[in-house]
Amino acid sequence: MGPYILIEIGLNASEAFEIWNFLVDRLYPRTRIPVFVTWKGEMDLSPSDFGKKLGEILAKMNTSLFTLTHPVDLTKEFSEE
Amino acid sequence: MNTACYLDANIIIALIFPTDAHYKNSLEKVYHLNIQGKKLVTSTYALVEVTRNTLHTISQSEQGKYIFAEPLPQYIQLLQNLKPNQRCEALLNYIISYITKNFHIEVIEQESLYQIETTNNTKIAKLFHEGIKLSWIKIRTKDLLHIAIANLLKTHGVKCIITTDKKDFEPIKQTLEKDLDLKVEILTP
Repeated sequence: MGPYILIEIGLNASEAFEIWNFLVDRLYPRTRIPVFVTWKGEMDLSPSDFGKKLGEILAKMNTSLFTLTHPVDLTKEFSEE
Repeated sequence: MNTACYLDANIIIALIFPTDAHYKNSLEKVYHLNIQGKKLVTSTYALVEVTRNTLHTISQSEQGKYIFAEPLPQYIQLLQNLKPNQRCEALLNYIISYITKNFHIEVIEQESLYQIETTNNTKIAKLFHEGIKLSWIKIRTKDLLHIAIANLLKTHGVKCIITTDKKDFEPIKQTLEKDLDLKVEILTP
């Protein structure tokens, strides 16, 4: 993935996502370095909101949650099932 | 109406796994079609396949088969902490957001696909009826349903199917083009 910025904050997930969104909008277009935020507080988002917000933020940085460290051929693996 | 291309589930999988063998060519194709102003669509049926396969990959990462790049494992763990049904729901919403925002792929669902038709006094959803009417095409049922959906989504301008599945789609490519007027593009790494 290369270099990235990781920030840990002592808030709940919903507040952390707001800050994460703010940081991505301001930092990523200038630096092109992905920004990640983790939180120490509660997961106060519903599963669907968590997935939705995570997808939206990572899409802004063109960074997939499913970036692996090694090459794969999943389309072939799954087609053989 | 803009011309649209129907993306098979394997294209979506390639796009969300950047180290997949088909990622680069899928990405190039999608960007190229975006620039041309062509609509890119997929179905909720494809999302079932994508969600299921992605979940399978996540669960196998616990055995070390797949290793996610840092700092992603902590977000994967948050998914893993959810109850199974909630995990699937979160994953589905992640996939929808990611492919919509990043690649401008539209997930199309249409009530008419589930319109109830009747044959021999038996009710049947239009989509499955279409699948049955197309079952002369020599392909697995899973793929036949994608073809049936793409054929019914012609009302949304769908004129082609894009897939990485050479083995199953190459033998029927000409049939689909000639008999259904659906162009087939098979991406190879």
